[in-house]
Amino acid sequence: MAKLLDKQRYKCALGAMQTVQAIERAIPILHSGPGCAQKLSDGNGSSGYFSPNIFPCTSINEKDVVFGGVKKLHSTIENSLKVIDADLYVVLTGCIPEIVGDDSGEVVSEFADADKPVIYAPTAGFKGNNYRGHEQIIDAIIDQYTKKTDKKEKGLVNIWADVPYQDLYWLGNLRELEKLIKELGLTPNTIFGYQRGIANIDKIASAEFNLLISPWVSVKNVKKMEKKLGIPYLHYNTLPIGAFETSKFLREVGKFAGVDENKVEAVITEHESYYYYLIERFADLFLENRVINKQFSVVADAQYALGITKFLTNDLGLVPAKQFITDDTPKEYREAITEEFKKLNYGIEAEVVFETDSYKIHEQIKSHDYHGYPLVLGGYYDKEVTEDLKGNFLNISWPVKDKIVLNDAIVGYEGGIRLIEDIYTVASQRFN
Amino acid sequence: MSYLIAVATSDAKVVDLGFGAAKGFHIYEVEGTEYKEKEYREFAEEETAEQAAEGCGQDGQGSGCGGQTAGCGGNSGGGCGGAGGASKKVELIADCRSLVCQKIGFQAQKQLEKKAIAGFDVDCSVDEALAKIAAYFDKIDNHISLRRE
Repeated sequence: MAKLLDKQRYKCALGAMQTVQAIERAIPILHSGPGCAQKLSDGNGSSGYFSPNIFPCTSINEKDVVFGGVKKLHSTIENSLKVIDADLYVVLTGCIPEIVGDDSGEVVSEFADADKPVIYAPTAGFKGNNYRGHEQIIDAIIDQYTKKTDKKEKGLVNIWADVPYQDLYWLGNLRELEKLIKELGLTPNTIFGYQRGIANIDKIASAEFNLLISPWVSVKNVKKMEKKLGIPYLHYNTLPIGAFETSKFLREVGKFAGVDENKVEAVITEHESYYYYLIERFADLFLENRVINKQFSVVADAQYALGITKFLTNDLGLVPAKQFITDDTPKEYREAITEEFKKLNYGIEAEVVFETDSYKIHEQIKSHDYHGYPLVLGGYYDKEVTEDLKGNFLNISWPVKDKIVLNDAIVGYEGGIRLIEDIYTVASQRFN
Repeated sequence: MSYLIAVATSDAKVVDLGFGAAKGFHIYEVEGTEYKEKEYREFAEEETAEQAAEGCGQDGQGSGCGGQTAGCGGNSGGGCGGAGGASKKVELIADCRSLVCQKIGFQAQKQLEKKAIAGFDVDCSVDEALAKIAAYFDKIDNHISLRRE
């Protein structure tokens, strides 16, 4: 029987055109039906040099299903190269050409001699959501663009973390992670956002190691890079938010990179003293148990669900209720992620549910006893149900309608403080 | 069940005529993935000439505005929406499921859509076009995936 999925929190794999858009001066070329870029129109912060409304698209129709769309793809790429000034052209295929069997890879290979690089990523919707699509884009870059080199730059670290645009804090988080890595004396390399782009993609191959901060997204990518480019990787599965996780993170990265322990500890001490100075000043507020809720639920992708749950439990001493992971995590990663939710301080374990259907999530939120009003950190879809329960709601995951984020971050020491500010702003508003 | 496909061709071998330029259509009857020519339908010219005279004047042989291609002329649409000539021509093949020609104008395409006729502007032989279209409709009608092997 046909199943109905209520308010899912991701897009199809073609949504990974956002990943391309996040690379400065890279343009997606869509081999898809007209309107496939429309799915991005609800997001904020995607205008600029290139925006979804002008992405070149083959706009294939019935004729191309019957007769094949490769000619159209060829002319679309050819003309994009002529009229669009970009550094990297990434062809993304939608469902239709993949089903009827257009050999897009073959067409793209005809542009191997073009002045600018043209690569291709199969991102048909039936292959998965835009988290998988994000992986496909990075795979395409590694497979078709990056070349292995023996020249390694000492201390150069590629950082892979959030999925751009899907994650509202992607830009700020990457910059914050770069800052932390720099303080350890290493040189960070990321490919997304302001003044990164193709120059940084070129540096990928000469990095000493890949640092992946994510429960599962991009695990495939760093494994591929290890195999193809000979770059070892450190997979750190928790997005470090707040002092406890960030210090742990810095120690682990320092150890992996062979950074002097004293140096790592000095960085940590400096950050922690300021962090706890701030916490101390507001301790009376935090201890005033009327203000904040006793239990919380996070409704987000694995990255935020895990990171925020650890932060709220370890740093703020809140009690986790059920946590919801909405990114359709592939089955092979689920057990390890579930285990991570059991590694909270004070012997606390959090129950986690992998659920993509918002109706089912809301039913579970409604039936849980939060011992008072719930605190829900989730997507905009969760606002109404939280308000019905008279709870406090903070919009931290897609879809985002309640918040505008330009370059704010929730990662690291700084990010933890930002998140506390946001949560307590919501909580204290109720008393004014 | 069999259905009809109209093809704009001068020699019944290559799809070499635009929808507007065609003076008539070769009609093929398709059953499953088999097809055979059924008849040739000629388009009555004088009707168009009349319309062209009323509309934008001139003798209108493919001069962009007016003429039998009904690009911009006709008396029915007003402004630039001249569906006149095109709709007469579409009437002629209204019982067909699909139309194959070398080029289709925007107006003509819209008129075809209104009659639920699938218009294909292609650059290939009549046989190739018919084989592909027949295979496509056959799969659709029998709920077979379009996935290519």
